[in-house]
Amino acid sequence: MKPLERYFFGDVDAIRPYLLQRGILLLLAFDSWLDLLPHGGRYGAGGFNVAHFGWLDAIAPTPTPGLYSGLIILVGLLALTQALIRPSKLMLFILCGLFTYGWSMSMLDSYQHHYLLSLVLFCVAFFPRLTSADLWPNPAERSAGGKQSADGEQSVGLRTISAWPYVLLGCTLSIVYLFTAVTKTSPDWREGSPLANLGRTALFQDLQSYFGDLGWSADVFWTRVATSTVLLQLGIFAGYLLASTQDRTERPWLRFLVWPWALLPLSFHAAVEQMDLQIGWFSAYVIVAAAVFFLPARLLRAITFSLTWLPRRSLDALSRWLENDEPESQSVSIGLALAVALVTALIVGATDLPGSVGASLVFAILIAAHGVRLAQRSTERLRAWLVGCALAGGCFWLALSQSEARFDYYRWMAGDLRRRQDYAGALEAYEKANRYAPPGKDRRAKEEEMRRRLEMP
Amino acid sequence: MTFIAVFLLLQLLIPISYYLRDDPYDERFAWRMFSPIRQHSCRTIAREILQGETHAREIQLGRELHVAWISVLSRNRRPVIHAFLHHRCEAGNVSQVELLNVCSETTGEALEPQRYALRCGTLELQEPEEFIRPREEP
Repeated sequence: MKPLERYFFGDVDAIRPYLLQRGILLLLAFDSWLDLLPHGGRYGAGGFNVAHFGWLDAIAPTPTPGLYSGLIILVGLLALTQALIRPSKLMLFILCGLFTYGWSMSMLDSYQHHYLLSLVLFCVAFFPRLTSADLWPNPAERSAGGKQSADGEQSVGLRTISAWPYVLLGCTLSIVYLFTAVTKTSPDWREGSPLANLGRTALFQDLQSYFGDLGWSADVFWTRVATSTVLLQLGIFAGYLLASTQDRTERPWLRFLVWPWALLPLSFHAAVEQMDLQIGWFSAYVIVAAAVFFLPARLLRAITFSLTWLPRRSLDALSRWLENDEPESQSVSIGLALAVALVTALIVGATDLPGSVGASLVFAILIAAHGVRLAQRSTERLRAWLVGCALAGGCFWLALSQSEARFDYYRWMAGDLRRRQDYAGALEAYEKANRYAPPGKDRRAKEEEMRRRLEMP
Repeated sequence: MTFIAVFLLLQLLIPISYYLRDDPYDERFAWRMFSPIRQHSCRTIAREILQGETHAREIQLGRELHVAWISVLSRNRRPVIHAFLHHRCEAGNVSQVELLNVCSETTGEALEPQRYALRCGTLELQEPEEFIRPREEP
């Protein structure tokens, strides 16, 4: 094998692509519902929009709150479903396409990490389609934590795998850090004031004070910290290139080099998270990626095994119960698919957000169509698909009902309408916001003000 | 391997294209997170001259656009500025629209104001004579 082929097609511990795929999809689901969805009300406001690409402006409709919100709800549902079952390559490509359309439809979303997430989802779509059963196949082993089972059987779980998409993703992340380092080589950055502007937090004030006691002036402190970020990001760039190869048996010493390297990305992004920047869930994604790429595989397996023990035991019990049943006839399977589609659609559609009814219909059609297809192939996969979809719908409802997402959605929409003097629209939005307002945070005063402006009782 | 090579080549060329463009404010797809340009502080003023009049009146941007778009305008994003200018012209009774970004660096140093103007009849667009560029090594 040529060196480049060895680099991309060499062994990777199976826990890494498995954990990275599930972790990214889980984060994406809740990021979509809790961080992106509340901003849906601004899309198409005032009839003005500019897409990221001129051709998209020409062919796509002007975004509306319903279009964007419905799309993001669907992204979250798809992401969570794929995180819970054996992922489908087709569904992951659809998810990548929908998410990419979500940010590219408008320059209102110029988060660079959303573009990165599109690249990540694209690579993840090619990942090996692993489940925990591939990693821990023996039920007794699964409950004993990977040890020999009670009757002496040795399990043969998947240890290493060739995973070129995983290595490709590592190279992509490496390139990101290379260019962020290039950005930081400019004199504008290295003189320190941009970083000082961002670093007005207790942590950095304490650090500045500490180094001030050692004789560093504020200017010297910020200049040196700014310069050091270049070295830090170049280190992370090199680390991602190396980390993909640490599981190969021909260079066992590489692991001892890579594991401490994890401190670079983990500490960098932990510090960034201290800075109160408006970067959404960016830090969570990159910390998960860094942990998966750099940390020892044994540690990742132990953590994953522990965290997923209860869900896996529950699903194993459910599978055993279902397996004891006679496989249902195809017509019953199809009926089940339609029933789950209907119930899930009702749950999702009842969340009282623009676009939720549309998203619920599309999701229901997806559940039914894919379910009917699976009914003709595999009862087991059909059951997994239906359970995954139902759980995703339930988690969406829970996420919305237990968070301030709907309150934020409507109060931000109301504020914008009020500023643009659409008092009737603002009143309607404030009424909805107050329906979901947490205690002590309502906007009753604003609602009353809108009524006065409209000369309503 | 061809697919991998093409994918990686694109990942390198797309960010590099930023350094070959003449628009320092469009940092999309270039991995320029937290850049000094991104932290420029700008005040945005928009004015228009109605048909049949000679004096410009200020546009209350907060009443016309979502605050998020005002923020994007203040970052000198040319496609958005152009779209805004055309959007105002399409109102029908406007002869000229102008947008001015008065910016300063993180050090507080004032930068050359960036003025964009559009004549609605001829669609003649005026852009800043000199775009703000990142500082170079002395």
